[in-house]
Amino acid sequence: MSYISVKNLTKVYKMGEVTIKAIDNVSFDIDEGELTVVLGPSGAGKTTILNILGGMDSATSGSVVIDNNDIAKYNNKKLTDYRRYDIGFVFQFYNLIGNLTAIENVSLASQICKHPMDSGEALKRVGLLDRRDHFPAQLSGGEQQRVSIARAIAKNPKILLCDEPTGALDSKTGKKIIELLQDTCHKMKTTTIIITHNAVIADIADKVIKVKNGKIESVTINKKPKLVKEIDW
Amino acid sequence: MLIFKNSFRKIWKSKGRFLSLILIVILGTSFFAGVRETASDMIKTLDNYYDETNLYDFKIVSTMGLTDDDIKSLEAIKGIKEVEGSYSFDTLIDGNAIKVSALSDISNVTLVDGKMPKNNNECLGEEGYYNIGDTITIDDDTYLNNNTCKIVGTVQSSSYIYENKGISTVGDGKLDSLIYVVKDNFKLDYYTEIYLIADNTKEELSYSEEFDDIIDKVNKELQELKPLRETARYEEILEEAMDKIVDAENELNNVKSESEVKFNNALTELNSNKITLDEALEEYNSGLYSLNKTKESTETEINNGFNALDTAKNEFNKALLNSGLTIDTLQPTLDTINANIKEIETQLGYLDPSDSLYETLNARLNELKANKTNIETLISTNNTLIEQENTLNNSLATWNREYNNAINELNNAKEEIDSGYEELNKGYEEYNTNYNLYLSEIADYETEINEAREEINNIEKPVWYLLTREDLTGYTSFYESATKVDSIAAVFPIFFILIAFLMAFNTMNRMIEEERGEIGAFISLGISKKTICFSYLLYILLACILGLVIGLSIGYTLIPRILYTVYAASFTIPELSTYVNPYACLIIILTTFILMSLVVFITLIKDFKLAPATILRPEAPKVGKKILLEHIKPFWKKLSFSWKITLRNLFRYKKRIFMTVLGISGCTALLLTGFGIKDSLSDLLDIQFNDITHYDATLVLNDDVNLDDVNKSLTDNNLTNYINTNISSFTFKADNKNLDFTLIAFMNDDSVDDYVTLKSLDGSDLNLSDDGVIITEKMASLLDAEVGKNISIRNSDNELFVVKVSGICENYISNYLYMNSTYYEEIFEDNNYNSFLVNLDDSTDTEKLSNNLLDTDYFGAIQYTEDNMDMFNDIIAGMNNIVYLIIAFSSFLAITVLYNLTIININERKREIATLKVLGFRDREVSSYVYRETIILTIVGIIVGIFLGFSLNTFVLMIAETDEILFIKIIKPLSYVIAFIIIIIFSIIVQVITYFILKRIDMIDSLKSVE
Repeated sequence: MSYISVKNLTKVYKMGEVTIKAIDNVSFDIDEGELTVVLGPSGAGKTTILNILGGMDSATSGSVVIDNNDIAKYNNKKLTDYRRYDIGFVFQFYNLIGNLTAIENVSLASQICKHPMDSGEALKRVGLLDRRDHFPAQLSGGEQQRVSIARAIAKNPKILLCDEPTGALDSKTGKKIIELLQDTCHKMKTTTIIITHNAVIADIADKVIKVKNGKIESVTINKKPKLVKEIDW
Repeated sequence: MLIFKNSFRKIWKSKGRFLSLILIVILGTSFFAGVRETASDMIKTLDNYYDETNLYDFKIVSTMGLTDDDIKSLEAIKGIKEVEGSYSFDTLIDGNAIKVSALSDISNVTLVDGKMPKNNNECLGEEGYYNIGDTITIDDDTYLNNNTCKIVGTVQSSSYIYENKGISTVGDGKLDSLIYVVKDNFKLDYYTEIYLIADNTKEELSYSEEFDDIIDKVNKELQELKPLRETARYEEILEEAMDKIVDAENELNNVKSESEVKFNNALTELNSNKITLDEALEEYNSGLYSLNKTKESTETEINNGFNALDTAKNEFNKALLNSGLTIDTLQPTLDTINANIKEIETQLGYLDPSDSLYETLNARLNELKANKTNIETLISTNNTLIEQENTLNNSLATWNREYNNAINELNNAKEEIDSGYEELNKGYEEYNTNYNLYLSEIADYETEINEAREEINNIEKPVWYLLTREDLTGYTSFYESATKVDSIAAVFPIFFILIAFLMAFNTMNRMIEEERGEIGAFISLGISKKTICFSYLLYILLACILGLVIGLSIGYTLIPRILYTVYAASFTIPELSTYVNPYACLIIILTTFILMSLVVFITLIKDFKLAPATILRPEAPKVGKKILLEHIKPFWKKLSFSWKITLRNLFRYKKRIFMTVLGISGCTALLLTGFGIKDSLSDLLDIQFNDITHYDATLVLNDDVNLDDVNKSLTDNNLTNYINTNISSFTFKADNKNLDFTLIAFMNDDSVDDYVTLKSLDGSDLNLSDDGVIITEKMASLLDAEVGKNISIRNSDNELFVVKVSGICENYISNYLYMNSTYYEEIFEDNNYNSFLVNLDDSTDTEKLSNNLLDTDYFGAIQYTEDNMDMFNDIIAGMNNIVYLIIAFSSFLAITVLYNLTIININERKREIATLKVLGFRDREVSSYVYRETIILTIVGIIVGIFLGFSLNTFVLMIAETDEILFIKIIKPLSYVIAFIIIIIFSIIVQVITYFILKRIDMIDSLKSVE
């Protein structure tokens, strides 16, 4: 069985009398240490998949088995623990706490999990150790995203979930971030899922899951993922 | 327009914020409007009641009653609308002092139940005291035609609205209840009172300045009339009395002259009787005298006869004896001789004369013849003697008979005379007794007349007492109560509305800041700034309108009613009519609108100044900064990570610190002030009536009583602790107001301490001095007086006196001036001590004591400190209830403020919180991340609030203080604790609410772009 196994996942939102099926009977597998890109246009349902995978939303039906645990059956408390110990999250808008320095932002996450990486070490890995005492407002967008990644990896998560990690960045910086993520994934063997509408990024992934209209359009396995240097957008 | 639709949607989306805005407006306006309106509603309600019951503006009573002439002259006064004479008297019914009054048109009564009385057998009783069907009997029959009446209805009177109805002239000196009878039932030939209603007073609000102005004006007129009518009445009474005396004198003179004649006649008769008797007696005496004279001469004559007889007898007896014969032998001897003679003569005839024998015989015959003559002489002498003796005896017997007759006659006459005298003496005696009786009666009568005359000279001029409504205990007490509300209303709601406004400002400010992106979008879409402004105005004005509608409804109905209910407890008054003061209402509405609009403009203008593009971009996040504390490395290092974050967050948003601390400290201050007022009041009575004044009663002496008698009656009633004083009402002028105070001069200042403790403000003991007075703290501050300074005071006759202040003493209720006898007598040139201060045993039955003392006629009134305390207790209880309202509202405000602040805090940091949740923070951790700041700020707010509260309390008490009461400006430690706990409890409540709000924050928000 795969590390992550999504089966017949359906999410229905009820907006008054209208019901919207955000994702409809979705199934896919992701292996441990794999870098997966979930690709699709806005409104395709990829954010819903991310929300469910990230333990931020619950499924209407279907199962989401992660490391032999079906998180679709989790209650709120278990989901919190799941997020706390198993998930590293990288936001599109970094979501750093403005009032905390870089290293404090990292520590904020690491202090609550069981086997955290040293915050300094995490920052070192993203190459920002020298800016550890800077506040987010004193950092550029790319740097902030790095801190965000450091915060995610400091938890030693089972899954690194990245929501449009380059969405708010220019292409050059974006590439560097993707590079960092690919790097991290390979070096740390962390299962990494990047959600994006940017098809270019898909080239660097081990697996590409294309979503369209709430359904899986295709699941492609890149036998030879490209290096970030090789892609261009 | 869609932008407005957007506004409405926003309302729905931010229900919490919108609701808290409404709540803030409700709290602010309802409290402000309500507390400010209460006093005016109360007064208006009472004014209506007074108008409905036609309550008098003036009441005139006189020491000698009032007449129709008085009424006529009152009617003639300009400015008087209605005049009515009426009757009343105080009497004891079943030991209770009851005022029995005639039903009148002015100051009529409100029928609560039953019907109005129609005849002398029916009457009305006070509601709550009498029941329909009760029968009352009045013992004193000087006033009424019919003294037994049945109660056919129960009433309330606007003259007696307070539970303390004032003083009574009977019983224990306290009026217990009221009875009303029909006017015709009174049989007095004079009115006991006259009621007046002045022109235009009904149109003016009672207690208002306009009202008082009219009263003052009419009062002046009445004051002018007063001496005239007093004199007129005096003369009338004098004339009446004089007439009576003259009549009495005339009658006396008539009686006198008639009686004199009668007595004279009687005496004349007696005297003439006496003369007759005297003459008779004289006659008798002369009769007796001549009788005795006759008796003497007659008896001498007879005795002489007898003596002569005796001599003759002796001579005879001698002759007899010489003749050797006895009386018995005389006749036989003679017979023998005669026989012998015859024989001889016969012989001789025979014999010749010459015969010797003849001769012898002749000689013998001669001899015999001589014997015979001798014997015959003897016999005849004897016969003469016997005859003489018989004659004598006869005349003696005759005399004696005559004499006896005469003497008997005389004796009878004497007897008659004697009984005549006896009768005469009796007559005289009777005459004298009657005459003396008559004289003494006349004398008595004359004395009486003289006394009456004297009394007329002593008749005091009748005194008119011009009473106004101010002299009604209820009328003034009610105003006191109402103004107490007002004095608190003057300051409290301002602070209240200030905090409310601040919170609204904060809320709107945050909202606009949060929606900066949206505003930018609107501007860039070409929507005019006016329209944008309007869309926010719409939002806030909607909140204001809803808040105002609810707030003003509560403020103008519920709050006055709550406060009124509290006051109504000690008053018998109609239900409150609530009024909406259109001006105040308009001001509140306008102020709210203007302030809230200002909030919108001020915040928006900041944004509008920027170029649309800049507004579109999110406001550059605040650069995180190391805080000062971090530089204290050892301290900072020891802090846990979460505390570091908390502290850093705390200092990041200065505005939030400011708002939170201000909001919470404001509420704490309000709460604390509420408690502070309560604390200040709670000990007030205790300190005043236990620690400062100790006497339990004041006995007011009647004029001209003998102090020894009084002392005896006090001892008789087991009163041992008392002190003779002069207690008089005086006034002093401060801030253009004439304020009352009580002057107490001690006749003997040895034991003053037992009755009043005079302590200076620094706690040291004060003693009365011979050259100065001790005045109370409040009076000193009103007069701006210091020790050594002179102050001016006026007595009730408005005479001015200047006294030196020798001390200022601690005192909280009423104003007093204390002095010793030396200084008192020096200043006032008077040594009349009209009252006693008395300490009673705990077991004293005050009612009995009052009855006993008032029965002696030495005492005019008895006042118990307890009753006085009760009155202040009522006022204080009323204030306490306002305090509860303040506390309740402050609590509401506190909870709203806390909620509002937390909501804003959460709204501001929704994204941050969502991020934390995504990072796997548990709900508890997320909450504590937010709470920790709130708790710190709350505690800081409370601490600041405690200082603020202390000042606010002092300030509010200073304003709320009246000229009569000095507040003890303290807040008890317990109150600090309670205020602290209340705020903490509220913040816990709010945090429980926040917990659920936080829980509901959607993590997906964290994925959204920064707005």
